[in-house]
Amino acid sequence: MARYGMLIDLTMCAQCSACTVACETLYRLPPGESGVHLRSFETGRFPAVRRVTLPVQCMQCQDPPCVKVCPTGATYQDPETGTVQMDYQRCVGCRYCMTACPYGARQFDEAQGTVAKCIFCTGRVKQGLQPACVETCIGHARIFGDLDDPGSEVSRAIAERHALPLRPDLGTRPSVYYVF
Amino acid sequence: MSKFGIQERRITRRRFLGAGAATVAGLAVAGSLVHRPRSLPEARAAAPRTPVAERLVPSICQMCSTHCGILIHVAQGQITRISGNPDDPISRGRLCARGQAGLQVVTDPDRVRQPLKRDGSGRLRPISWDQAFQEIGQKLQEIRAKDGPQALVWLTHPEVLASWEQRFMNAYGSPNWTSHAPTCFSSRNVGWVATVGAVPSGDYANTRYYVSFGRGINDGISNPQVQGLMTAHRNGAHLVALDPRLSDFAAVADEWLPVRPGTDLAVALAMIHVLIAEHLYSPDAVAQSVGFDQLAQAVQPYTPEWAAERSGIDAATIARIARGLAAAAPAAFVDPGWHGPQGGMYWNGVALTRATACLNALLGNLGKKGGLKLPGPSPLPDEKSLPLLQPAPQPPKLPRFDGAGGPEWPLAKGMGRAHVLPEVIESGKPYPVRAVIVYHTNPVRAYPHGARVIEAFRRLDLVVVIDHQMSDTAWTTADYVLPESTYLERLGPVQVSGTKLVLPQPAIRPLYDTLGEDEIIRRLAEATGLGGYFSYTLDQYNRAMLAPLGLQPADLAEREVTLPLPPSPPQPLALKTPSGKIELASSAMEKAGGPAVPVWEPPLVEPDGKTNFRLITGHVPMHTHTSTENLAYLHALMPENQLWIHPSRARALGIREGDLVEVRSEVGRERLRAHVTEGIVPEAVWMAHGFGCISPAQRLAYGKGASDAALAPIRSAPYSGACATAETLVTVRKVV
Ligand code: SF4
Ligand code: SF4
Ligand code: SF4
Repeated sequence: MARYGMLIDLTMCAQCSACTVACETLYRLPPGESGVHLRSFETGRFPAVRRVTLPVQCMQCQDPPCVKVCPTGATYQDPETGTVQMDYQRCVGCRYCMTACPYGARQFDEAQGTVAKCIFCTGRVKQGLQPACVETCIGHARIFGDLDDPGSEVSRAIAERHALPLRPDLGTRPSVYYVF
Repeated sequence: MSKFGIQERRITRRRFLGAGAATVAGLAVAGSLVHRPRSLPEARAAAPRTPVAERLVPSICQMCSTHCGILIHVAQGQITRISGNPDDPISRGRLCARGQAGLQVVTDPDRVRQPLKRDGSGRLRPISWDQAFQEIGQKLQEIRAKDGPQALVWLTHPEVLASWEQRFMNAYGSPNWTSHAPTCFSSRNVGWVATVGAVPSGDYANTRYYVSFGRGINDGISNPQVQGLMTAHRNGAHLVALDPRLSDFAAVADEWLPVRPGTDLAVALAMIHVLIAEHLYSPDAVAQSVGFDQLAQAVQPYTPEWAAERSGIDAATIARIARGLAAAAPAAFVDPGWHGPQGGMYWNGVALTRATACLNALLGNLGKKGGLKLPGPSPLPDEKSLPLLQPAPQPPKLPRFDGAGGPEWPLAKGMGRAHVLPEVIESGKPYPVRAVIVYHTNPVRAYPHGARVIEAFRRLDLVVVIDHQMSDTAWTTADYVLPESTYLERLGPVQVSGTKLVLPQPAIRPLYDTLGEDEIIRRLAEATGLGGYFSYTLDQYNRAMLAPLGLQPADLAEREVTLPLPPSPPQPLALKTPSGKIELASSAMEKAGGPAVPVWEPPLVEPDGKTNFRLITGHVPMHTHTSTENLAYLHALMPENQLWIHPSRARALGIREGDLVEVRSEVGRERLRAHVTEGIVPEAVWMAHGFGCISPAQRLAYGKGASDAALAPIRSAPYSGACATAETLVTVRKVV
């Protein structure tokens, strides 16, 4: 039993998009359909202006609205890893989950006629590898591991760096944390 | 074991997967406990990872000049992925977006697949390699007989097989081999060489206080440096970005100082003023330098208040940052820079580099942890000493077409002034140039005033472009396009990467009728009657380079080879300056007619703040120069550039976010979409370099965004001869 989680430390993120392309090349996704996207927001007035860039992907919610709305059970929560997964055999492409996800973390895969999203590289993790985005992160901004284990690197870093998930008020209980 | 006691390590599945994972992989082969993927991406990802099907070929990334160590994943004769080599000291198992998208260099549907020749109607048509070499060789011989060997110019970037290209040019008798230095880093090199005899690099990972004068380390990415600096940031290092634009680096830095473009020099001089006035400099460093008193006297008038008036950065901030650097010294540095204000885009680039070099020197950070380090000697032999390469052609004693290294440009030396080539072709001065060979670089969009480059090249008797894509230069001007195999399909010269030796080796056979540059040079030499100088292959060359180390190419094909590199020399003993010391006052600068110590020099042009703007440009993390916009993954990340403009100026011009605008300079006009942002000083507009492709053969990139090179006039900055592209004024209007 584990609950896979991730920390993205924005003070280290180089905003380089290496994570985006790592996901695309590993899964041979069509260009632009990566599970990870960078989103930027600008705030303030010159010269006191700031730009925050967030790598956004599936937050692997513990209380995932996408699972609740899926009529076929194609989107499901894997009890072994606590991750939200897709069974492509069952996905009918209705896109309810896309509407339900408050993080805009899902994309429609035109070629397959199904919905795709970040799966936390579960296959790699089970082989003892890191998720591709974590492995390649040139800012060393990403830490992956088991949130249920308080001694894991990711759990310790979340505590030490006072990391927070995005929009905790939505009640989805995400497993991806950020340091701002 | 060689005489250096080289350690060898195999990249095994075990190492790559980690100890625990090896068991899982082993079981999977045996057929039990197979993890059955339930999802499509998972299945796709797991498939090529079975140990039987996948081969991992270690090599180096050539998507930029950082040369990170990579593993090329090959399954069934195809490259499935490129990942970082965890054993490589440069990449440390991590690659930037460009490095990973490198596999599309091979599969780009718009690649040049066979040699092409322009026919009478202006079309490029396929010909055989034999015909191409025979015709080009004959033409080169005619040109040499008629106009002399100096009539041939070789333009190159990147400089992977530079020594082969130079050997070819030496054999031909021409002094005109030219890299891309003047369109990038010439001023930086001139300023640093004058001060400490070499160009240092930063100890990014261990620094405590880092200031960049216009270098966006996250924008034009060097993977290991970003890794180091971001780690230092987590460990508490203070990062300061002095930049007219809120660059990707400025966005993550602790402080963004929006300096008026072209005035960084004022800030640097004032910081020196503060260090000296408040006795915050390292006495040791001063003892190892010459000219301290002269410098101290020169910077007396440059108070922070004086600099604030010019730069727009307030005096208290300038003083605070100077003190911050001093407090963290010697684990503190001002980035030696690259491109940008220290590289040569501004008129006062050499002065700025000299000032930041002196500033660094006063911090006493040379050779210190968290400071700056000078390059050490290469463990590879000097190729001139190799018996295989005898007889070596002598470098010709003729003057260069661009005057570099001559009386007018003594400090530019071998870096050349490639961008003045159109002027030389037009005027025939100092002598007629009749032919160019263009390796990879794309002068039409890499050099200023692209339209003039096209016009000039069209007047030449011979333009040969060696590339794997149909660059603008190839499309508009080439008589012959010689398709090169990509870095994933061809062998390269053995290289030092950090503390490792690497062999850039092919992972697959070339997909099309292409050749490696080594083979192209060899056959070109043969056809030009110079075959005697190239009677060896690249493989034999690599063997000869490795032999003195007791190694063979095969040793590097599978294994990582660590070199016990001598630690960088104790510094700053015996620097390669005329005095052997840090030259705060530079004799070389004085000899070249410049000031011995850095003094204020204004930028060349001044925008009026009302009707016009200064055009500034720079790099982005997902593209390299003009060579990657046609690769689908990178194109998807950033298909075009935009014109960054401050809201106050945009409002006055009736421009809103996303509007199509026309940017006009004295030499050209370009169209692109506007990005209205608070993240730029009002007097400047910014666009990313590398867009505005005019080669329709690059179907994704064609016509997207604008070319900054089309707008900059040809201008050479003092002392370095670099092309001062940021000294360009433009007007902007909304296209209705
Ligand atoms: S982020 Fe969206 S897709 Fe991911 S688990 Fe939460 S609701 Fe579902
Ligand atoms: S790879 Fe790492 S540093 Fe680069 S954008 Fe992604 S999270 Fe940020
Ligand atoms: S920095 Fe990126 S593009 Fe450059 S060599 Fe490294 S991985 Fe390749």
